[in-house]
Amino acid sequence: MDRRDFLAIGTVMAAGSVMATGLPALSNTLSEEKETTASSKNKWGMVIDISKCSPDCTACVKACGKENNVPHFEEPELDIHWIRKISFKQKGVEGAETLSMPAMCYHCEHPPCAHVCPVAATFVRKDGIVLVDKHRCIGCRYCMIACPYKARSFVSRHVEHQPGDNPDVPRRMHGVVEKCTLCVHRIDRGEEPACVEACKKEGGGMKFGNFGDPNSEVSAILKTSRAKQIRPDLGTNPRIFYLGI
Amino acid sequence: MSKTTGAVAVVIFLIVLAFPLFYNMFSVGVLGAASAAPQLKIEKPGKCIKDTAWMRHNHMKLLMHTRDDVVRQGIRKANHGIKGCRQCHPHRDEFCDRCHDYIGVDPECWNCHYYPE
Repeated sequence: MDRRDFLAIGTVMAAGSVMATGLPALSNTLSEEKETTASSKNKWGMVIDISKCSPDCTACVKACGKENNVPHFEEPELDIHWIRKISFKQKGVEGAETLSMPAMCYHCEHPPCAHVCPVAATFVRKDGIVLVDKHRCIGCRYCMIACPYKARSFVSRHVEHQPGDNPDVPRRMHGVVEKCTLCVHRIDRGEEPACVEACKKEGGGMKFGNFGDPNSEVSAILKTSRAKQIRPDLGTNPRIFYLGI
Repeated sequence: MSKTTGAVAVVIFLIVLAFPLFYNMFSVGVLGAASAAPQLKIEKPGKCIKDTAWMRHNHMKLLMHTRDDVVRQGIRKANHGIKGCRQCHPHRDEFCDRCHDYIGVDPECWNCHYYPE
C-alpha cells in the first residue's frame, strides 16, 4: 500500500464514522421536533386593554395564584408576585385619571434575565416563553437584578404542599427564583393562561394569542391600533402589549 | 502480662470486630425481615412503558431525561412522567418509598412535585 492509498482509505473511514454517529442523532432530533408542543412557529403573547381594567378588580391575580400555587408569606416584602396590579397617573397632565393595569413577566424576545443567568436555568423556549428551570436554578438572583420589569420573585421561605393545590404545577423549593410561566402547562394542553380566562368573566381586557401567526386576533390588534410595550427603549421587545396607555 | 490475658484480649477483640456479622445472622432469624426485599404493591398489573428489569435500574434516568425534555423543550410524552407512574401505582408510600427507604436514598422529587392520590 503506498501513501496515496493509505490516505484515501483513511479519509473514507473517517467520513463513514462521522456519518454513522451523526445520522441517528440527526434523525432523533427530527422525530422529537414533531412531538414537541413548543413549536418555533408560535410566539405566544398578550394584548391588554387597560380601558377595560377596573382598579379594584384582582381576578387575574387571584386566578394566577390558584392555578400556579403561588405561596404567600407572613412578611409582605417577601411575597411572590407572578402577576400584580399597579396604579399609575399620566405624567404632567392636570387632573389625570388614575389607571390600573396588570404587570407581569413580559416574555421578552431578548430577555436580560436569560442573558445573565450563570447556569442557563432561565431560557427562552422555542415558542417564545421565558421559563425558569427550577431544577437548575442556584438562587443567585442575578436575573432579578437584570429584569427591568420587576417580574421575578425569590422563594425565600420553605413552602409546604397545601390541600387544594393544583397538582399540575409543582411547588418551588426554598432558594429558587420564580415568575410567570404564561401558564405553560395550559398552553401545552391548548388552553389559555389562567389570568386571561379569569379576565374574560370580568372586563375581558386581556387577549392571549400567537404573534407568530399573522392572521391571529392579537396580530390584527397590533396592526390596527396603537398597542404599546413597556420601556421599548430597552430593546428587550416584550411580547405583552398594552392598549390605552 | 501473661499469655492467657493476651489471648483473651485477642478473642474479645475478634468478637467485637465480627459483631455486625453475628448481629445480622441473629436478627434475620429472630427479628425476621431485617434484609428481606421490599414488597411492592401493584394495583393495576400490566405493561409498563419499559420492562420491569430495565425500569428497576434506569427509572431515575428516564424521569430525569423526560423532566429536561418537558421543561426545556415542551416534549410531553404520555405516561413518561410521575403522573404516568401514578396510573398503575396510585400510592407513593406503597411503591416509590418502599425501595427508597430500603436502600436509604432520598430523592428530592417530593420537595416540590405532587404524587396526586
